[in-house]
Amino acid sequence: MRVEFRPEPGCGEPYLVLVAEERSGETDALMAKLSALGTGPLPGRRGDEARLLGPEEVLRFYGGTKEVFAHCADGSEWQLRERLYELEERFCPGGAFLRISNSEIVNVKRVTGLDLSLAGTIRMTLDGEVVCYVSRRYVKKIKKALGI
Amino acid sequence: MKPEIKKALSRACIGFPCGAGVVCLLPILWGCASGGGVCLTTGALVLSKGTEAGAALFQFLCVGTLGAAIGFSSIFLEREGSFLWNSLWHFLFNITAFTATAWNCRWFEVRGDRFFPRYLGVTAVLAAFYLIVWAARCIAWRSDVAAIRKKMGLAEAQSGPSPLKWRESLPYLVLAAALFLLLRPLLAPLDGPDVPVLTGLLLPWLCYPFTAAVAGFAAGRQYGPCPLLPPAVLTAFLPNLLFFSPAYDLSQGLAYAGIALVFNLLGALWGKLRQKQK
Repeated sequence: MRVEFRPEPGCGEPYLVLVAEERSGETDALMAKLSALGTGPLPGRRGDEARLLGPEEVLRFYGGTKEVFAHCADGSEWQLRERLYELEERFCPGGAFLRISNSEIVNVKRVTGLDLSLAGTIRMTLDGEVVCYVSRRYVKKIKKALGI
Repeated sequence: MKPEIKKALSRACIGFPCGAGVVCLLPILWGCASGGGVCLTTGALVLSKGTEAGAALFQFLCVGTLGAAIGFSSIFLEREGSFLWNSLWHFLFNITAFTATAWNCRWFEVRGDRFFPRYLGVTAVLAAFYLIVWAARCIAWRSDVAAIRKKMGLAEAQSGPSPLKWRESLPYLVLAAALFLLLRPLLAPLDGPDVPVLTGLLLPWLCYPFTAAVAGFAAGRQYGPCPLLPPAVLTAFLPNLLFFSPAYDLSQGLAYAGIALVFNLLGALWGKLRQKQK
């Protein structure tokens, strides 16, 4: 594979661009690996306690514009400094995480079930029977993100 | 003010001129199509307001308000949560606005008829539209959710099939039933008095069999045999027997139920063959 370096003064944080003829399973896997390089641990806090959270232990990120929380697999919840859109930019492109609504981003590997009720609500179940709801407005975006 | 309230109010502002425009345009189109004169309001309204101009202005304002209400209520459908509840609120809000408008504008007091029979008929048609929209959206969302589930490698529905597969086949039952209930009253006013092509030929020989076949096949392909579909088709057909001209027969209902059953089984077979191929 050809690797190039292109200097871009003023670009701020370095970023990688993958160039290919078309999107395929191979390019998706490569993007996931490359994205994981930038997804280091997140500092979270809970009262006086602080901890570094690995993305793999997070079930979902949720919250609004001001306060964002990480819900971990062990049941603990930690407040994060980052905003939801920043977490989306950092974790979603690789496909490891998926934004399912205005206020929620889930870890794809932790999803155990997806059901549609007759009332039209889309229920997503994560590890540990954690339940969250997919916004109907996000279904199209989710399909696009998954390459459907 | 919340952004969604602002949005709803701006839609209401668009809805008012749309509603008022429709109430002016429809009688003109109807008059041109029927070859008769243009009559903007009902006779009962003219009598109550004294002059035609007064009646027309009153109706213009009422229907404009109805248009504004419809525009405002669109906000219900954009809310998250239960689509069923949101649709119900939307329907109740709009039917209340429609009822108030119809009553004030004396729309159902033609030739001394009572208000309620025609009003109930229109309400039933509107309710059937909502059911059709719900069923169609439910079927579309199911397809999307199934595709996402498959891509993510998740298991099929967490619980087994419901008794008689009522849950799985409900959107198809509702869609088929709503079409059987809706098409006749919609097409009847458009039919010619001498040769009712629409309700005499098109509906019984094309539309109804097609609806039964498509609903049966689609449900069968997706969920296998659905025992509730043929009786639902027959039951939904029964109100058609209340119309006098052209008169329908119970045997037609049985035929449509039979078509739904046959195509449901064909769909189930098709679905199984496709699965085996994969």
